[in-house]
Amino acid sequence: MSSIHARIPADLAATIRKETNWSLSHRLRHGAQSVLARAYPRVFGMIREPSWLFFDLVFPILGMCSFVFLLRSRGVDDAWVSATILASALLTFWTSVIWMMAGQFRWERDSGNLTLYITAPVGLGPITLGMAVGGALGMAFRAVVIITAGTVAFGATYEIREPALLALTLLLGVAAMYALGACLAAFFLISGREADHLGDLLNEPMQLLGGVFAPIRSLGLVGMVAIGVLPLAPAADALRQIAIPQLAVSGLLPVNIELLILVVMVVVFSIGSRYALRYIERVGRAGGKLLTRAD
Amino acid sequence: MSVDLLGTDSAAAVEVRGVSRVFKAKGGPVTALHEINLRIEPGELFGLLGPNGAGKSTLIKILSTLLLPSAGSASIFGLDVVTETDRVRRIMNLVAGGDFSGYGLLTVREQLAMFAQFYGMPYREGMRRVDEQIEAFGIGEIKDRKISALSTGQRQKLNFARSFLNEPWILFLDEPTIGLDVSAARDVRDRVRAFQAAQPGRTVLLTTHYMAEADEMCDRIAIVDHGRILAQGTPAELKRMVQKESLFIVGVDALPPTMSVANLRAIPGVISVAMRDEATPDATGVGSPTTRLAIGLKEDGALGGVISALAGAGAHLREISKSEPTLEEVFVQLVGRGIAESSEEPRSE
Repeated sequence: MSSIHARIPADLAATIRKETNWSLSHRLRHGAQSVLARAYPRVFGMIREPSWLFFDLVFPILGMCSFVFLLRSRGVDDAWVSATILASALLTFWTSVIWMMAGQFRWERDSGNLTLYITAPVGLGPITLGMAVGGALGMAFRAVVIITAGTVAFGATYEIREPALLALTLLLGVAAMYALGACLAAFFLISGREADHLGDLLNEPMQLLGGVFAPIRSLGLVGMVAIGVLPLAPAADALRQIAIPQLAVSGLLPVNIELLILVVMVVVFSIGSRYALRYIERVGRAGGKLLTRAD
Repeated sequence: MSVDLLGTDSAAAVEVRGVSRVFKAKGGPVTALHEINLRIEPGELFGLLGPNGAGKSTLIKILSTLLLPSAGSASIFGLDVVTETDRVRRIMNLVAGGDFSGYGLLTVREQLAMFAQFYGMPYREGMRRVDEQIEAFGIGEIKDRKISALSTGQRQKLNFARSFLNEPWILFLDEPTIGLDVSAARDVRDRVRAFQAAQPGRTVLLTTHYMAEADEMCDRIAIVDHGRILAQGTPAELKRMVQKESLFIVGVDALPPTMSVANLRAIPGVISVAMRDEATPDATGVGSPTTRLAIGLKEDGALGGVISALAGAGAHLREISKSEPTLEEVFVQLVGRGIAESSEEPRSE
């Protein structure tokens, strides 16, 4: 072959230099495109599987109904029925964080996607952000369906005096949850088979500690700790106080403080996830097994 | 370390210098690569041929930035794979055999569009290339089909289409045709050749344990076993390594009484002569006797003397062909066993 042992033409060298020297604007555009590209299958892909849609909606609604029936049988104030419906909607995001964020990289690794992500010029950051954006948008639809179904079926009422504050709280709560999910994605990948148990641990026990279906105030010191580390706790507590004023007295902390806690969580977990993703790439490249599918 | 390619007269597409890789294992460290040295020129299709566990995939993982070497260094077009990973990833792509990557709920076109975004090209340019690859791989009929509904061959064509989206300067193919039927394997091989022909300088590093594939596709081949490169060169060079003599098969209708094997052996340049009688079907389908002579020569030029001697003795020549060793024979000679029987003790690749 003629090119063997031939000199590299100057234009080829220049082309390669140019191709590998991306400007900041190129990198920003690339990052944004990658986020949207990774979000796409989460938003549109899942709509294509009617059975998934059915189970994703019906099971949470059934869970919500069981809580509502229990509350009604005990003669609890209807405000707590409304709170339960709100909590069920919030939990759709939390469940997605556990299984579609924290557990996602293991699935991506086993399907071969993680190898392609690592070897692509995109990096795991935009991929993870795309997972979060797509997951949050997909779950928002489910949350709306759950609240609508609960409100219609059980006559729940909400008194939203500050819709902007409610939206901000929801946004921060969801952002904090998904940022935590991004950190956990790296942790779950390293944990191997133990990740399944970790997933279970993050489900019902965290619902209890997060005070999702009951006033977190009743958990005392444990509740205080939870509200400082678990995004579910301040988000649920603040949303209850904003949307159901009768329950404001059951709030553990003022809404503004809880919003501040959520902001801190978003920042801390986002920075943490950045380090965690770098860490798994470093460990994976050093060890040889973490990032690639077992043959 | 970054190398200034402009003005460099010897920057290789791939340069591997003393690379070793040791894996931790329960029974103690396992050395998958021993001080590998390798140089691949731009535009080459280079093959790594070896059995399972030879270290081929380990080397590809190091070069494709998935794995760090334990020692040594490697570069792609002058870019260090350890310290300049981001830049290396901008000019490379990877296809592995038996790959089931992607999202089953996406269609073929959506999947390619997603990766086009990951590879950093502007949206419209990305979609143009997606449609180009769909056309090139002949997967237009399935472009709106979900990934989960594709056959193995279709999925691998999709993987190849994905790998060409960013028009990589270096394409790593790790056992890419494994599990494919003959037709699908031929299609992807043709496409790789077309890609290199259309874009000079694009380099392909292929690992395979299919001898015929390596022989047919590769400009040069390195035979790898137990983490070491045993030999490298063009397929013809490798074959010459194991061929002690030029072997010709000469068919004559019958050896004349005045000509014997001993006479042939006495011709200058002849090393060996073996004779066997065979029946060759003639035009009427009836077999006619043919004597085939396997003649080993010091060099090809000695054949003239043999032919002259046979013709002078009145023999009628029916055929002359040169017999070359296969890559399989090269492999057996170098490794000491066939590739099919070399799959024991898989390593931590």
